[in-house]
Amino acid sequence: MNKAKLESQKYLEDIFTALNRQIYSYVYFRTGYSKEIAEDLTQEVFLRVWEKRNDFNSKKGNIRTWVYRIARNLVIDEYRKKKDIPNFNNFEGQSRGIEEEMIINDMQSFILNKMKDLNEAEQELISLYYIEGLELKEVSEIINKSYDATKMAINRALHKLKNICNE
Amino acid sequence: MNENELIKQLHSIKVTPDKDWENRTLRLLGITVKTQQSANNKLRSYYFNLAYKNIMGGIITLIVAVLLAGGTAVASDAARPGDLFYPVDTFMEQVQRSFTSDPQALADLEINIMQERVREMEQLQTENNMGGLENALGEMNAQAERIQERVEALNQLREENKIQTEDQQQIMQKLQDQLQAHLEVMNQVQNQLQEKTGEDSEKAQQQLQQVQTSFQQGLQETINQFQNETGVQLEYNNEEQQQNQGTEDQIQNQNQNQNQVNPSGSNGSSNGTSNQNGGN
Repeated sequence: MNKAKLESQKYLEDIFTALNRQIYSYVYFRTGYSKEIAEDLTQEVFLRVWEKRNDFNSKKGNIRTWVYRIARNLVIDEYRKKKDIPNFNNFEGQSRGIEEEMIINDMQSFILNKMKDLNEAEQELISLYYIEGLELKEVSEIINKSYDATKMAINRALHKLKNICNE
Repeated sequence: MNENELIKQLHSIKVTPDKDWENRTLRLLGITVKTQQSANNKLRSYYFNLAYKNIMGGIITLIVAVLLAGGTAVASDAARPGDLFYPVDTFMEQVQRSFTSDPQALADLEINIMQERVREMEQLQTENNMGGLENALGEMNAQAERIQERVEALNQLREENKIQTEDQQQIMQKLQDQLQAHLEVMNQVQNQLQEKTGEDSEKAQQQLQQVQTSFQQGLQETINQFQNETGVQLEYNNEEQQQNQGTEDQIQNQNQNQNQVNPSGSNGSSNGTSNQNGGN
């Protein structure tokens, strides 16, 4: 990946095609399962990818973690702007709507309901590592923490979620 | 529930966006990139011409532009393709574009610039400046493409409910009014060109016909598409326009019929028409 390649429309389209579902999923889980917010913010993420293409530095991480960091900053800005964004809380109320967009069974629905008892950082780790399936190194780059600290935090979040589910 | 079962369940959760949203976003990204690249190319081309092709003229142009600021802008506004001040004219337009972020204002600006291009063409023809006329017609084609890009951007925003149909209607009405006026000027220029002889005159006639086709089949189709999608009927100022609209509606209906026969054309009626027309 280099800047010359990022100048091309085709390359931007390729990045969108490769990553839009993962980014959409990440934004969706972090903004209270709102399809509208997820669509708008994900669109904004890729517009920013184009605007900030000169900032990309392959030495600091791969393109996926760079796009995730843009998404993460946008989600944080959105939280600052609208502090009343529900954080997993509207899952039960809109379960029918959610099921139309998600392929989930009863057990997964139960787990997602329990996830709302985790704090924001823990929810993010579960989403990045387990639901979107990123590698540990990538997660550590996105949340800007060391590999070991990230690994420990993920284990802790999973352990906590397991206990909540078994209560 | 043990950890392994929990991990397995989390791995299986999938959330996917609408295919329709994916397509819309891809279109939006394409428009964004094209708009920016077009602006950059224009600036690059301007600086290249200034530095290498006409360096003395460029230096004089810059000095005059700096010293006379507003006065130069007025002088350059009256410049025609090939004139010393013409690059300043187009540069000023580019600056206006850069400072116009509102999509509706941008579309309005492009329509105004088209009016300027038509005025230049008219003057060059009166002066019998065939070389300049050829350049002017090339500029008009480029401007028609810009307008189409701006209208496509408005269509996209309207589809996403980010602007109201009424807001776009004002722009489309202005485009409709000016399009007809421009076609009338072009017909007059064509009639006058036909009375002249010579290779240059024939070339200019051919190029003018291309521009007319681009206006009638490109921009007019864009207007018709807006009317079809929104159900809004734009006002027509005279009978001749109504006749033209009738013809365009017929073309539109034919295309729709063709698309019904060939479902693969369902998402690209405008492209299909363009290609057909291009083939002619």
